Amino acid sequence: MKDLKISARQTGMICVMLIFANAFLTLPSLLHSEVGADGFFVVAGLMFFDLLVLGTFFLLKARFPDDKFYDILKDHLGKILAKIILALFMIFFLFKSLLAYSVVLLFLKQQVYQDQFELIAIISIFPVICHGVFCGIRTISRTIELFFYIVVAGLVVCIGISFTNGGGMPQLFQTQIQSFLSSSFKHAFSFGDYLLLFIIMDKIEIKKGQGRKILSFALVGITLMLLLLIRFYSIYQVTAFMHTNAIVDISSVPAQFTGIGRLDIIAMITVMMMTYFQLELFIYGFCSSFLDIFPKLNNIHAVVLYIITFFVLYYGLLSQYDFFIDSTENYFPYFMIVVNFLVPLTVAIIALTKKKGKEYEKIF
Amino acid sequence: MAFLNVEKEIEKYKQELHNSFDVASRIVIKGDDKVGFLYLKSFTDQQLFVDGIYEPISRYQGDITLDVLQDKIVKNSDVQEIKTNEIIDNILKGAVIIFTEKAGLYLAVDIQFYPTRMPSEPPTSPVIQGPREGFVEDIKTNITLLRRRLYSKDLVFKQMKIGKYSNTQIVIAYLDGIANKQVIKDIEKRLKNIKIDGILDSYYILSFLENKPDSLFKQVGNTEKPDIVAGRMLEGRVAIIVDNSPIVLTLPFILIEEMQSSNDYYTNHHYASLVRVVRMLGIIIAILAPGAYLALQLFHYNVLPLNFLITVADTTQGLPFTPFLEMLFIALLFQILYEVSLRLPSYLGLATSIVGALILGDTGVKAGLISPPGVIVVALAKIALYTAPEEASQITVLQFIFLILGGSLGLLGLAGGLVYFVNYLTTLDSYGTPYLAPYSPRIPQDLKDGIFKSALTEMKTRPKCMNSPNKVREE
Repeated sequence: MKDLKISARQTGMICVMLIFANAFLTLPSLLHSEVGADGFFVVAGLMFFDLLVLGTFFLLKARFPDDKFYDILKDHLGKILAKIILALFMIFFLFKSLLAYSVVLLFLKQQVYQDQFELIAIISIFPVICHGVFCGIRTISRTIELFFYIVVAGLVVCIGISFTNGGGMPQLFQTQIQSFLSSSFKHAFSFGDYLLLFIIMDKIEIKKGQGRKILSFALVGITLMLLLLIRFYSIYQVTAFMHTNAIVDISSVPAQFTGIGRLDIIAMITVMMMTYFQLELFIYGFCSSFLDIFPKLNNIHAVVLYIITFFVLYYGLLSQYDFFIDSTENYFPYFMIVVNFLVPLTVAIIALTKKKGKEYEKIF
Repeated sequence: MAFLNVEKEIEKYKQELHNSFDVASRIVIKGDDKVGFLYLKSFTDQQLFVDGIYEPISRYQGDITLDVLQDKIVKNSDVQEIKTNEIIDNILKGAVIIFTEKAGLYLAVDIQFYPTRMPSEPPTSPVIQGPREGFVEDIKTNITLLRRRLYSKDLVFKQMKIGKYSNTQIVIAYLDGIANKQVIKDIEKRLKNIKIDGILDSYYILSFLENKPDSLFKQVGNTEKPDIVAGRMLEGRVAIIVDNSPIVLTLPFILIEEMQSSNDYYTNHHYASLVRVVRMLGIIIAILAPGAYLALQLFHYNVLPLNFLITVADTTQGLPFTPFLEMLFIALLFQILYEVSLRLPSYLGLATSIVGALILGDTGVKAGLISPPGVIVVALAKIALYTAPEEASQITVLQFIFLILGGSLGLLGLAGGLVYFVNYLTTLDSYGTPYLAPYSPRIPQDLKDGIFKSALTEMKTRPKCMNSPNKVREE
């Protein structure tokens, strides 16, 4: 993986791409089955938490503008703890990619393809993302930069089309705070994507005042996500839990009304593009963490390890989709407490422990 | 002063030139002095030699020296005294070598002559507005065409020779103070490192100038139009002119250049923007349409409008080929017709069109071998291919790649192909300039001459991606 810098603008776009995928497909209906339309607040709350994680990233970046995340951890926590944290990150990215892949695979199987899709997906996805990972984060971010407005336009069009489907006010504030909290806890694994920024922090170049750029992009992503949720719950109301692919379902316009075919093709293509980017980013995160732990190995080892682990887990242990989704809801939240709460907290403490004579870089 | 044995000297150099039939020699005896001439008949102006050199020297009473030759005899050509090791080179350049027995001199008079073509409109870049002149095969004419556009002391032409046997003259042209010095240095270094037997056209040196020579994508700009080269030099690029080639190369190269035509700069910028958008759409259609049609037909037919789906189903029913083979067959058929039309004499062009379009296309459909939608889609893609201002061979290759991807993997394969190729393109750079600039990475000031073109009054700076030391175009 080539060590080349990426700009604040590209980082912001990465933040937007990281939010999407499964959060746009299965999550809204899953949340609806638990807390009704208040799933909106669950997502809003978890995204707010992600923004706090983003804040800790900014703190760390301001304090150590050119340092590697691993080196910062090693200097402050020791080599062993630093490696343990990166190993946890590796597991996090591996399972995030598994979740994204299995959700998208299920969606494409249901909506677009029929037989022999597993093989088509493997041939279509893995060579491309491995090539992206080998080329490095700058390549991935530049590709995202080129497609960013097309993908965002696709999402905006989908949300726009949803207005042709009518809908009323979603029934909010129907659940108790306990259900809200338990649902938030259960679905924590669907978030926490900004952790990738820590892994690539030494490759990000944030000039004075450019932190705002990243934050703006992140807010655009969050706004789009919340807008989609509102539209989804508005259209389907109490039956929302039956519609498993939110973005596609809101943009479905019956062909007999339009005469121009199914417009949800836009959503399908958008989801396909986002899947490629998200998987590239997660695998990059995995490989980068692996190489920090084992500096003597190279990116070929990292990618091969990823592929082997991925397929063993996917076809061996997690071939049962329901079992996997259950696992993400029952076991992963505890894992997330460590990865998405304790680690950023530690990072924040490290960043705030200012040494004499060392100033913070002004990134805002 | 050394005394020369003229006969012996001439014989020696004739031997060195393997006594080729076009090597000519003459000797004039002037009292106690002898003057010998050695030259190539095929590469010199015979009339000029007889009228301007041979006869005046024969008539001249006195010793032949450099000053005499320069001031009194040869008035229209360059005369220089040369060393023995330069004799063969000068003969091959079209000079006549004069050997003077008494003075012991070797003098070279440049009377090079060969047939050249007049500058005309290049067939690859026809224009509606703007200059129609195109480069020719003669390097001197090409340099003149550039000089006529840039009357500046800063216009520099650096010459070098490449090719063990061809000794081809190659000229690096740039505007001093505008072109990036590092780029010039890199180009010179790469050219100097070329060790090849012969350079017959500018395409011979193309791969030596590319960072990834095995790549499908073009990494060096090329044009036949002097106004385009002058425009690119004003933006900070370096031009490479190769003798015997009407195609001039320019560097650094970025992908957006493929969408820019010289027409855009001689027309209203709003219209130019519209045309560029159309061109971009044309290129996208050319690359993706056959693959996307196939993907929709094979994997995702449920997203097609009902009426269209019925038409497709009706017309494809009973075809002997699978949709994938059918599309591949039609695409190959079009490619064959294209290749044939390029090589056939123009008077047969009409016949080819009739055979291609009517007999093969129409009869093929009527015979139930191919379907009308398939023909329409491929024809649309093939026509759209020509929206690219320069001949873009990589688009044809991409068309086939995406046809195979769409036919075998569906839309996911097409999306994957797109991501793969863009990933690959982002890794390319041309002498420090990112290949996808100004879009990835985004360079806001360079967007003024991107897909949307601003008025010339707004383009006050040179493209930032060219790293020119002189950034200001308009003050």
